[in-house]
Amino acid sequence: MISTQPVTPTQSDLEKSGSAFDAEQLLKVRQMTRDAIHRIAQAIRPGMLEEDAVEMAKDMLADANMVRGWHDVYVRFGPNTTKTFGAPSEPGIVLGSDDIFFIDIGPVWKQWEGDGGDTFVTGSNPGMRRCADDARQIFHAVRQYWIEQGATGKELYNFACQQAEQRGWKLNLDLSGHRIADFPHASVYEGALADVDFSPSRLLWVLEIHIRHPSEPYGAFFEDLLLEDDYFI
Amino acid sequence: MTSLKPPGQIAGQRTVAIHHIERLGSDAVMLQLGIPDGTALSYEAGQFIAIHLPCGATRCYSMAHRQQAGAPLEFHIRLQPQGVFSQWLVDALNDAKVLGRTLSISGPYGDCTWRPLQSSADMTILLGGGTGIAPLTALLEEGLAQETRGPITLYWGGRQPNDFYCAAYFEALARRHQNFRFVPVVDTQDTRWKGRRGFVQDGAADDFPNLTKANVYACGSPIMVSSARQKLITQCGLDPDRFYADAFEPSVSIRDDARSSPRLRVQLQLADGSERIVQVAAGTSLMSALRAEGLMQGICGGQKSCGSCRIETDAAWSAHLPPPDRIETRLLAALSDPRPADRLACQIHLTPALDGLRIAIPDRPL
Repeated sequence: MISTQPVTPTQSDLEKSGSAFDAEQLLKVRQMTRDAIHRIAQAIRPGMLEEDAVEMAKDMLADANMVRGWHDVYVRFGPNTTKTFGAPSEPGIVLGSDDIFFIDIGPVWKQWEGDGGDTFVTGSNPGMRRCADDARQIFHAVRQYWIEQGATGKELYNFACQQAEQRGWKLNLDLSGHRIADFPHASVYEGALADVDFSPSRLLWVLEIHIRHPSEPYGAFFEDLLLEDDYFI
Repeated sequence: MTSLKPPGQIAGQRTVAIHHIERLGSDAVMLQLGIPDGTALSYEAGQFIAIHLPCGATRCYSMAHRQQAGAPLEFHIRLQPQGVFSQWLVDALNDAKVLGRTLSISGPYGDCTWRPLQSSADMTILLGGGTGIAPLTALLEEGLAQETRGPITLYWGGRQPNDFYCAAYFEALARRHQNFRFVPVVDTQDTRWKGRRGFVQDGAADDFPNLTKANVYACGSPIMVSSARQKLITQCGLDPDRFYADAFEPSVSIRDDARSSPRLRVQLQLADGSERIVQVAAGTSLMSALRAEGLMQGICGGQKSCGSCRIETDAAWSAHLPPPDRIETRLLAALSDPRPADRLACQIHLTPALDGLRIAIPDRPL
């Protein structure tokens, strides 16, 4: 008799990589990605139109030989920082002098994928500044939970929800982590980190934290690879 | 960034109730859906949703008005012979108890949304055919609400005079807004018609031979959208990045797309050198069609980002394709071993005019 029971993928199934997997190269792309995010952020000025910032970011990535991406380039200004992955931005948003924006890029360099995001403020608005800081702090709190508790993907995002609520934000679970690998990780596992019942291995997963103000039109985003403290010094 | 989920997983589904249904002209229906719990569906003018019928069929339609607090969602739906949803609509029109019944929807989707003009004097051209007028109405309302000062001209194409079922609405808007002009266009020799004749894209090209400072939106049949794109870019100098269109024809099912759309042949040379002919449906991108055949991955989902849908076009067919825009050109140049005939399959919209298209899927690393 042929079994019709679905086969539940194991951790080793979901943590496979391609033949070009190379930890050193993945870490190199990670650094290139973080550097690119900060270069783009430094070039963004109040008064800039979001659409122009996206084009500028693409130009800068092209200059850095990272024009290819496994996902599109996102620069979101002001109210568009509440938008989830894939949602089109409200057009025509101009960055204010006391405003918030985030950058989210997924460049492919040679055969390896990068993925990173971070949030920046242009002024002194305390709520926006705290939001940007909290996205980073929640990221690191969840990462510590992974290191210290060996928590599963589901547990990591339950913990992230608690962390966000304690700080007065809403966590967007549409952005809840994913695999990273030699291009393309999508051929291994396209699902979310928040759905897995095992403790994810280092260097293979991206932890995403997207928080939103419960009533005001802004949010913040931070993402990076799940790695130990040494990589964040 | 999150993983590449299909749209339905991103937004989830929600329940709506039938608020109103009525015929529009001879072969279209207006369907209004309300959200029972009173929460608004947040969407941008020009976007669409998927409606999931109790029978399991799914259809995509654009909202016919910009978002307004408390107002039901309105859709204009062309009745198709033997169409599953069309038959459901006809039955609903004759069923006094249909109001209040619930359906499931997901979305919104789509990025054919209102874009700011580069200068307040720039013009906007809206080109619609049949029920493609629905998203254009929402876009027009959005443009007028944003107090756009540049001229806005709406060309609406139909087969006969009574196809223009909401002409009075546009005529009223034209009286209130000096910068808005409504041009109905009939594409047949109907003797009752005293107005413009021909195709909407020809009307726009005749009226505006210079579109270098214009945004153009096109919603309707794939062939109209493709023809408009090619004509206005090559003949009128329209910036390809300022041509906005739905990626698929309104009123076409996601699930039944392949059955209901015209079919065309694509001749492929595969990476191993073998040749193959595939039958694909018009109205979608070449990348989507080849991905459905298991011939490519399309990792970024058609965002001109990953290059995984690179193909090489046959020289004889290159001239039949709209030229690549700046972003496509830049990405192709950045891939390894680029060649002049390279294109991204995600940027080639399949129309019946491309029947017989010859391409190669190269065996070149990216």
